[in-house]
Amino acid sequence: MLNCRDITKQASDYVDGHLSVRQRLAFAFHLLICGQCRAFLRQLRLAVGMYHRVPAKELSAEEAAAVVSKVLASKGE
Amino acid sequence: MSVKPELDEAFVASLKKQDHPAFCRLVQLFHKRLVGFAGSIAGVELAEDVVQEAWLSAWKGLPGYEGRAALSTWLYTIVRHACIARLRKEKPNFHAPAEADEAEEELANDGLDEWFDSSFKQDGHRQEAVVDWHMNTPEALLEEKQLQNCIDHHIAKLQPMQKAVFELRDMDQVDLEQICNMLQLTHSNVRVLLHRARLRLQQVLDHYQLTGEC
Repeated sequence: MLNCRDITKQASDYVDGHLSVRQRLAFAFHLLICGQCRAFLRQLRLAVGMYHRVPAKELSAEEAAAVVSKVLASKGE
Repeated sequence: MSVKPELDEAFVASLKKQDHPAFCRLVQLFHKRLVGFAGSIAGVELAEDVVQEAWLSAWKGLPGYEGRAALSTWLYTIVRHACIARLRKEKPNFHAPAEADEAEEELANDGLDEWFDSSFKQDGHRQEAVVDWHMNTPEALLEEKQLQNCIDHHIAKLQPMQKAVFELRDMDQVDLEQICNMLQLTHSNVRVLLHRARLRLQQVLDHYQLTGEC
């Protein structure tokens, strides 16, 4: 039977859907009886959801044009 | 945020013709993330320079890009090669590390095993209750500027391969398979690196929720 340490070690595989059916069942059984692990997994999902929403860090159009000028100048274009 | 929707066939076709505005847009979209990726391999001091070299290789190679790999994978691969070439030039004794070995080394040295030992009892139960988060939606977490700065700070401090995997998977939402190809790692290694990066940041989030401080 899984314990809290096992759950914590495999939490991302569970959240990302990389566990087998048997492993998911073992997880589900532990979660049924452990509110702490339910909270831990809820917070892990919350954090991953937040990372997915962090806006992509882009250059400004001017900065990008400057990089391109420098790159192409280095080969004489 | 994924940039995939923008990388449609028309855009790629323009790039293959070395269309200048399209190339500028590509640089705009990818430069920062490629610099971060290069920093994970070659170190931050060389990253900007290496990525500029990589952009030149990309520019030259665009007409021959056949689309076998996703454009993002193709770019990351060029940067990885540029990093290794530069490190060989800078350090004559440098030999390209097997990323899998590097990943193993990171896993052994990231301090998380000690965290596990101190956080769980012998029987596997938690030593302490899970921290109760008062910010409990992704949006609420994103709105907290101080927290975002704190997370950025701690992402920068992750071990290089953990940082690369975390940024590719959780921030850029690159497929796991592509990450394995880019970094020459197994699925298993990528998943473990990702999980350990997440656990490290989870500790940061716990601390912030508890104290309001980074």
